[in-house]
Amino acid sequence: MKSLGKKIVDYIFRLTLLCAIASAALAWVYLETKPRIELEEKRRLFLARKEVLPQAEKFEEKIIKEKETYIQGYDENDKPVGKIAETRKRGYAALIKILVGVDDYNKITKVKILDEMETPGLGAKIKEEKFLNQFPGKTIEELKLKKDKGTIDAVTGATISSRVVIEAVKEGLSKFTKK
Amino acid sequence: MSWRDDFAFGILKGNPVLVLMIGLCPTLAISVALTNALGMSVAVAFVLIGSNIMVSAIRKFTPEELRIPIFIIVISTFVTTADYMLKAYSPTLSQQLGVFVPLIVVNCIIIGRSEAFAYKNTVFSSLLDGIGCSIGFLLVISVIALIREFFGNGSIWAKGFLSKPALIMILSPGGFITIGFLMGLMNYWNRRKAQITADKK
Repeated sequence: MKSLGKKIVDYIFRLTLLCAIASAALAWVYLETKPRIELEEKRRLFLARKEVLPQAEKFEEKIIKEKETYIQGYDENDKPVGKIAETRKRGYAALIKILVGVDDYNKITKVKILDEMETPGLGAKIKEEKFLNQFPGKTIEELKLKKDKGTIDAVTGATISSRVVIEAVKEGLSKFTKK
Repeated sequence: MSWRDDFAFGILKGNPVLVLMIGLCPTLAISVALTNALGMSVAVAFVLIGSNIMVSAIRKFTPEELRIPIFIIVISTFVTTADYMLKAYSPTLSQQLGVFVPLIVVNCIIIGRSEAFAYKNTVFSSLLDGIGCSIGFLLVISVIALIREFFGNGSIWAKGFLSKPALIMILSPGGFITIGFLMGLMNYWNRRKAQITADKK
């Protein structure tokens, strides 16, 4: 039988050794995958922005005021072709991230859901064209659910998620319209 | 036990989900679409096989009182690795599985197999057990996902078939219903098989 003191020292030694090995292994994995993860993230963001502003080839983040930014899109001749607002709002399950694209007259051209964790089959349908195609061309006043006397059809069974999307789009649009 | 038994245990006789009834939480959460189910199975298989081998390899180094923290260290190392790999090489899948990849850490199948099997058996047996249980998990979660996706979303592998699906199947109740019936079937089958073997003696 080992004494208690010796046992404790032994256990501390074993756990520390194992943790050190595990950390070293993880550090290696992290360094190996980091460049690729960043690349993929950038690519995903670019593709999403491109989908909202198809004519644009380049995007640049601009600051409106403290912590408020928008993304300016340029075509291949560096001519500005529209702007994108990125907004996030708490949805039914978790944060919903949305891109709102507007043209030079601050009219909505396209809305895209970047991230969502809504209920599959219900709230997750906010990603579908059928719902999102209702947004282009609408003014802030029109952006309301039909049951709130607006012009947008909610996704069946997902009023909360639909409202959140509308609120987020409004917030994005107001970045450009309010002076 | 022969190596064949080690391998086959997790598939039918000791299927982690339907017989041991562990790992139900991720099974229910992920099994809404076949693509997600397959992605999850691959991630779970990687972690399960890896941690089974590792736990078994260091079992002589692991004092009994320390085994749970040591299992957790081993498992979480593999889970984090899987998470980074998915993010780097399969970002779409990583997006779909979301928080359920990091949550593999607390998946009972993995720590259950470490505790009940790998800690007491050789590396080779643990490897076989890991593969067997992974196949068992893959089969069950795929069947559940197939049923739920078809009836709940009207599609198979994201291709539509039914126009008016029964939404309930894709929500949590549908998961419980499906898994309940499958458990019943599985236990009926296992019991009948045991009966037949008993009769032969």
